[in-house]
Amino acid sequence: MAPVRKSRLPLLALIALCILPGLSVFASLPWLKQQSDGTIYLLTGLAAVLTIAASLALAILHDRKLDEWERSNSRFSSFWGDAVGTSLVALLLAVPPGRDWIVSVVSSWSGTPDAGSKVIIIAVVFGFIATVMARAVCMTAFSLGWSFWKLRTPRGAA
Amino acid sequence: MKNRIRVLRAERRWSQAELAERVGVSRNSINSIENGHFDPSLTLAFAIADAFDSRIEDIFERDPPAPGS
Repeated sequence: MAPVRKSRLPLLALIALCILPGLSVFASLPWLKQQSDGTIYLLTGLAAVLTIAASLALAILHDRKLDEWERSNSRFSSFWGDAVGTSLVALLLAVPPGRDWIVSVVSSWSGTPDAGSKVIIIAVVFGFIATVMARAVCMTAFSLGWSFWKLRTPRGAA
Repeated sequence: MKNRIRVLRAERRWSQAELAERVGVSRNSINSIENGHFDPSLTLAFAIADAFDSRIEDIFERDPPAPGS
């Protein structure tokens, strides 16, 4: 029996969907700045939703192809990568040179050199806290869901 | 966990890649299992045993219990 050859088109389409919306937003920034707030939120929101949905689909497709050694590698690297990465950001926010660097980057990117450094740092800290909290809540929810799923009564059991 | 995968492969003149393909995992998996750095799941251990037409206990050997355990 000839092996079934799977088309790579869906994969390429998903990769394109991950990249193109963000690129389109950056490419159209001069035009976007002239639009109303509603239009900007709608278009950037749409781009974000498309990118997130395509990324999730790609992650699921990738995960299905992993064998147990690769899955173990992924679990190890995501655990330690998360822990070390989160600590690095916390460290960056804690030391003055790190804070100064964040303020200078945000000021130059947003084109507002007179933006208050305190406001920028508070915004970044709140964003960081929101990310950490959202991860913790989602991890707890998925952990509970996984436990319920794995501890369910077997089929046909009285 | 000790194993005889290297010996069994050599007897059949299979490369790690060939065994990996027969079992349906990556070559890295076979390499890591063969060197004793990664313990396979029961499913994978059965698949490896099937590939060599052997029993699991003929391929894998439990580590001796740690002293005091």
